[in-house]
Amino acid sequence: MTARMLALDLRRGPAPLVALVVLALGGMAALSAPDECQGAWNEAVLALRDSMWLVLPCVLAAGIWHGGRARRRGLDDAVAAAALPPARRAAVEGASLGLAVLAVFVVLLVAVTAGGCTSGALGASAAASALVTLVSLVAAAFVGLALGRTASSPMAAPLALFLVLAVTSVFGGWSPGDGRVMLILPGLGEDVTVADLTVRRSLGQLLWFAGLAVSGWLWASGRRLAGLAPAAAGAAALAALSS
Amino acid sequence: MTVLSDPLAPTSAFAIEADGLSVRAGRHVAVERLGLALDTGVHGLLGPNGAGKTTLIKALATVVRPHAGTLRLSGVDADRGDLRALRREIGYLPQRFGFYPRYTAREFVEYLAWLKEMPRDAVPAAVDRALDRVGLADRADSRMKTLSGGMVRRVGIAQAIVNDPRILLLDEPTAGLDPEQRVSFRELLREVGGDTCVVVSTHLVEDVAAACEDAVLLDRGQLVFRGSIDELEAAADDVGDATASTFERGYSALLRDHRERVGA
Amino acid sequence: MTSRLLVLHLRGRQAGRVACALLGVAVACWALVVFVDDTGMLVPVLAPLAAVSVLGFALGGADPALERVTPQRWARWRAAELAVCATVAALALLPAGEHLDAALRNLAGLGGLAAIGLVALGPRLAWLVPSAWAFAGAAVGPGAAAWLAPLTWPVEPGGSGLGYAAALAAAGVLLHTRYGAATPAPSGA
Repeated sequence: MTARMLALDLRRGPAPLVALVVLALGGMAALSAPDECQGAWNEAVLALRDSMWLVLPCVLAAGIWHGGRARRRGLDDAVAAAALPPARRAAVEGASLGLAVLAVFVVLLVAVTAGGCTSGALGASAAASALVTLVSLVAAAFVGLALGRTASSPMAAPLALFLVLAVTSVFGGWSPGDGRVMLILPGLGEDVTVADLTVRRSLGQLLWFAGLAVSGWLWASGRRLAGLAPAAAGAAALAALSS
Repeated sequence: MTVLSDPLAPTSAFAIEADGLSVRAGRHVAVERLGLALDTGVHGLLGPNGAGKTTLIKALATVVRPHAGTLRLSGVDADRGDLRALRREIGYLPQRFGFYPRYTAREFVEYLAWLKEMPRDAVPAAVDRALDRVGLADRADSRMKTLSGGMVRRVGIAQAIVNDPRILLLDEPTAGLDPEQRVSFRELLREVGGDTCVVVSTHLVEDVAAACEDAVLLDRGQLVFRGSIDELEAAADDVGDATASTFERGYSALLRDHRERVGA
Repeated sequence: MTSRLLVLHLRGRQAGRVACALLGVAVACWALVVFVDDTGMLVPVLAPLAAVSVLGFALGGADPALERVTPQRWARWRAAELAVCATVAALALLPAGEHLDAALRNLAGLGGLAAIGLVALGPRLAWLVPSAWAFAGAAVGPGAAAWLAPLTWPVEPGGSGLGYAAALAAAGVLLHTRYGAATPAPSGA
C-alpha cells in the first residue's frame, strides 16, 4: 500500500515540477561552467556541486510546500484523525521528493559529461563528492518537509527560499584555508579542486547530511526532541573527520 | 487454552461513553461537563451555531483531546488507550472537508483508506463499494477539482464509510446535497446504522427526524435534551412560527426552556 | 461600495504580514550592505525578487464575478494598487546603497513578471514567475552570450538591460489591470 501511495504522490505531487526545476537550474549552471570542466567525470561532478548554491534552496522550498500541503488544503482534521503514524506519511512525502532529486541527479551527471567522452576514470574522491551532493539535496527535502508542517503561511516557502539562497550565495562553501564549519554547506568555495575534496572530508559531510535528513524526517513526524539527535551525531562526525 | 482477544471488544455496553466531558476550542470552553452514552444506531446531534457540536465531534474523532472528564470509545479510554487501533475503527467527515484537487475521487478515497491503515488487499474493493454507495461510481476517475460541491461532500461520506467503521461521525454531511441526494443519504444512514454507532451533527432538524432514532441537543456546550425523535416532536408547543414543522418547533421549545432555566 | 470594503478587508488580513515581510527585506538589505563586503548578486537581484514575491500575496483574491460586472472601475483600482506596491517596494530597497540603480531596474522587470504571474497562477504562486526568470539568469551568470541577454539582464550591472526590464514591467501592468489575479483552484467543501 505504501508503494502505491508513493507512486500516487509522485504522479500528483510536486515531484515532477521539482525535477524540472532542478534539471533546468542544475543543467544551466553546470553547462555554463568553463570549457575545461566538460568531458571529464571528475570535473563534471565538481561543476554539478558548484550549482548547489542555487539548487538546494529550491529543493528546500519544495519540501516546505509539500509539507504544508495537508494544512493548506484543509485536510489537517482528517489527517489528525488518521491511524497511520505520522512518520510513515512523512517518509512517503520525503521519498517522493528524494526520488525526483535522484532521477534528475543521474540525468544531470550524464548530460554534463556529454560534451565529450568520459576522459579519466571517476576517482573515489569525486564519487564521494557526488554522493554528498545527492544526500545534501535529500536532507534539504526532509528539512523542508518538517518546516512546512509547522509554518502555516504560504509565504513560508518563498521566504525560506530567499533566506537560504542569501546564505548559500554569500558563503558558497568550503575552500582550503576556511574553517571546518564551512563544511556544513553543500556547495563549493573558491578555487576548490578535486584533490581538496578528500574521501575523509566527504565522508564527514556525508554523515552530516545523512544525519540532517534523518532529523528532518523525525521532525516532520512530530518528534521534535528525538529529531535533534541524528543531526547532532552527524555534526560530531563531521567535526571528527575533518580535523 | 489461548483466547485471542480483540483489543476493541467492548468492555462496556456503549460505543461512545462520555462523563463530565469538557473540551476547549481555543481558549473558549466549547463543551461543558457533558455526559452521554450512545450505542449502535443513528443519533442526531442538534444545536444552534456555537453550541459546540463540531468540537464534540472532533473530540469523539480523537482530533482534539478533552481537557476534563472521561471519554470511552468502543470501551477504550480515549485519553490513555492506544489511539492507533481505535482510529482504524472510526470514520470521520469533518465540517470543512479539504481535498487534493489533482487526485481523482478513487485515488483520494484510497489515500484516506491508507491513512486509516486498512489492509492493503481490501482497499480497492472497499473504495469501489464506498463510492458506489454514495452514488459516485461513474465519477470515480474524475479529478476532485472537477466535482461539484455536493459531489465532493459525497466523496467525504465515502471516505468516512470506506473502512466499515464501528463509530461513524458525520459533521454537516448533507451540506450542498440536493433533496434527492439527501433522501439517498438518509437511506444510507439507516443501512449503516444497523451495526454502527453513527453520530450526525447538523442544523437540519428534518434530516435528524427522518433518519435518526434519537437526538442529542446542545446549546452553548451544555446538554439540553437527550431522547427519541418522538419525544423531540412531543416537546413542540403552539408558540413559534406556523410554517415550522413539529420537529423544528419541538427543537425551539426545548432550547427556549433550557435558556430560561439557565437564565441566559 | 460593500465590494470595495470586502476587498479591503481581505487585503487587510494579508497586508500586515506582507508589510512585516517587506520590512524584513529592507532590514536584511541594509545589514548586508553594511556588514558583508562582497554581496554579489544578493542586493540587486534577491532583494527586489523577495519584495515582489511578497507583494504578490497581497494582490489577489478579489471576487471575479464582481470584477466582470464593473471592468473599468476595477482596472483603475488595480492600477492604483500596483502603483502603491511599486512605491512601497522601492522604499524598502532604499538601503541598497550603491546597488540601487540595478535594484530599481530589477524591481521594475521582476515586478512585471510577478504581475504576469498573478494573472496566470494567482496570488499564492505568482512568485514562481519572477523567481524562475531570475534564477535562470543567475544560473547562466553575467556576461553571457548576447542571445541570452533577455534572460540575464537581472544579473547585469545597473545601466544595462533597462529595455527588457521596462518591457516586462509594461506587459505586467497591462495584463494585471486588464485581467486581474487568477483565483486559485477550490479545495474545500
